[in-house]
Amino acid sequence: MTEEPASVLRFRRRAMGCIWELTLCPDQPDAPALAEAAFEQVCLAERLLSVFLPSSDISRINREGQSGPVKVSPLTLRALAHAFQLSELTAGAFDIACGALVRLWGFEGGEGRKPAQDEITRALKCTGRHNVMLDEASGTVRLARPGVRLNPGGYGKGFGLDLAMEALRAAGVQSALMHAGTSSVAALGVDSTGRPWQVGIRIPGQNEGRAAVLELQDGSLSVSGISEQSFSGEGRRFGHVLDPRTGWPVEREGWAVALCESAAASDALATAALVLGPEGTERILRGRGEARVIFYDEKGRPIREVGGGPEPGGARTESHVSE
Amino acid sequence: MSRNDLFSRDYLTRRDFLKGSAAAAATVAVFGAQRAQAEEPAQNSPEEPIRAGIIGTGAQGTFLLSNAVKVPGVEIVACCDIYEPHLEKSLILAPDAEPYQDYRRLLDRKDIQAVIIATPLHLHAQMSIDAMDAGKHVFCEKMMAYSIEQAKAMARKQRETGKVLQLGHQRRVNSTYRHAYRMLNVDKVCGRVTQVRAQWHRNGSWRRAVPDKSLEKQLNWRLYREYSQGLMAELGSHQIDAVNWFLNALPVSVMASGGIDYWKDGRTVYDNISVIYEYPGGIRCTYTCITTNEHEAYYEMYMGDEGTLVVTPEKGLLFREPKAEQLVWAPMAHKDESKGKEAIVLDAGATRRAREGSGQEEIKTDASQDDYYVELEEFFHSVRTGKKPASDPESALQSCVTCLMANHAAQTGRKIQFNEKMFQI
Repeated sequence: MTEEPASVLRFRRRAMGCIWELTLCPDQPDAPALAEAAFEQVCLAERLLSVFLPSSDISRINREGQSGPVKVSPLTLRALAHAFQLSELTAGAFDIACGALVRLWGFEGGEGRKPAQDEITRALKCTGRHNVMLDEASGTVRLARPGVRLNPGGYGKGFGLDLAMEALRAAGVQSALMHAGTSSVAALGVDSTGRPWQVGIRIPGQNEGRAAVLELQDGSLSVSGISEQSFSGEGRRFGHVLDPRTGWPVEREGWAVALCESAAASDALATAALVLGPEGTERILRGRGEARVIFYDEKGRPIREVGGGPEPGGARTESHVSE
Repeated sequence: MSRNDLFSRDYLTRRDFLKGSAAAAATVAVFGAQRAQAEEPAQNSPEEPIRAGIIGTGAQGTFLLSNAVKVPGVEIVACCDIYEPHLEKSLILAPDAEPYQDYRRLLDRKDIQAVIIATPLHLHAQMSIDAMDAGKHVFCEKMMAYSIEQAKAMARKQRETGKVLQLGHQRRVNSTYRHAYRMLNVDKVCGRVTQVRAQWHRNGSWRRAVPDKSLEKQLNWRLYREYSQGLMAELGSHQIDAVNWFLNALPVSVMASGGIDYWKDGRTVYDNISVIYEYPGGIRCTYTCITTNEHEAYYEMYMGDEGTLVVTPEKGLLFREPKAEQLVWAPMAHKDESKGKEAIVLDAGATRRAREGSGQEEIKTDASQDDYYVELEEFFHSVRTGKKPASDPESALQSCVTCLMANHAAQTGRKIQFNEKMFQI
């Protein structure tokens, strides 16, 4: 997804079911050790949030949270609190308390299947952040009813990027680019030539040469689209992005690219934008500073850009440059 | 966008972030919050909480801390590190803890019952002994100590004070290891064990980034012999401890060779080492730890005349020898293919459950918890009950001696004979 200057240092690691890649400038001192520190943070994020690790905080909450409060890492508590604030901002278009729906549709590591409407109705009762109680004083999380499940899809990889970027920043790194698979990328500073990092957006099925290129500086970018994972049934194609408000997959064609400083937030925002569409996304981003979303049609043509208010500070993501 | 906006990364570091968000969450989930209060107290433990502190909040300490704060009935009330950025980071994980830069001031606190020590190796003994003298129970990271004498002094202090002293050999609490131990020693799934092969192979410098050269030895202490016993202490001791445990034996001799052959960056500990231990009965264990190739990463492999058991914290695999009789329960077991051969997977209890029909006892194992969490839960349980932890001073001293003698053999080029006295407290 990225286009880098010719001479860079690249480090790769597999985590959360995809390849993570960190790019550092060639003159970066201690580059291997910094990469190790960054990947440690990614592994930490996985150990806290993965639904595929039985010992993760999320798995423990899903398993034990309906019987009583589950004590979790303060970092998990922060991630959940952050994710819930994003849920509230997006009026539930993004919601990690949608694990019941994700599982019902077979998107939690299984094969996709179209459930009956009454199954969806039941799963909807177990969906929504109001079903999850955080208690900061005791550091615990509790689920309101049986069947409620957390699923950090649309947040977890971004959270890993945020932890890694924060570790690099704290270690004094001024220039770095890291991506998690092909869905999210985060940047510190500018590249070794002094230009903002160039991030190419490739639309699956389209000629790679037609990729749009965005510039990223001290910010993050996430892409969401329904053709990444989908299944067909009854003559329809069902994408993996679910609308937590209706319980049905989003049918919107095309892609949403979200940009802001936090990768966890851009991850969530890209998902929410796909659910809400341009008008809805514009409404939630009004007055929210520089966070913005660019919508592309299914052929990769930019349709509309929303957000990106005038308030200073935060992510300095540059404008759309070219196709 | 304001810096406090939820689109920034402030949510990771702002100390008041949770306070605001938890209040917001409570507003939204009024019903749930009220019910939670009415039905049960916030504290999971029915007893008084154990008040604990942590000394050393670098990479390993942070990891322990992030798990310690999850243990029900435990309050982390003090964090100590001489390096301020590490100390600050720890306060994000334990926001109510009091920060200290001098561990002795932390030990002065009468309300603290237990401490977790995750400092460089050369400090383990002094700090543990001071802590036990101050009346604290101690969880100390592995390896036990920098020298055999220091390790013995720790063990003697534990006997003198009666405090809990647990070491961080977490394979002792890992459910796959506990399960594999029973299969090897009770069920004899490998027949007679004749050979062990173990390795921890990485491809990396093992160097941490330092913001300032003056901090090199402080942050990269693992690379310098005056603070560290190198790969055998930091990686090997986990596995050698497991080999001693699984074989129910201590080695009789060791030969080794090591060097600084790739990472010539000023370090003074080996970047690779190869070791051969001889155990009683002619069992040999070959162990390698390298930093230039990560193929097959880490495992311990027990080879017997009827089978081979390969164990890692994540997975255990049993391969039966072609000439061995089929195990009664094997057809029902979970199987996998590894390098073209069928293997029985030891996934924490499943293999055992498959054989309930054979009238064998089921081992209760729990793969749903992180090993770091489980070892700390066990530690605090020992503090409450006085129960001996699985990684006790006796076994930890044995692992420490076993590893240090491998270093000694490599450094002198001699074959070292162990004797009983070496392992005696």
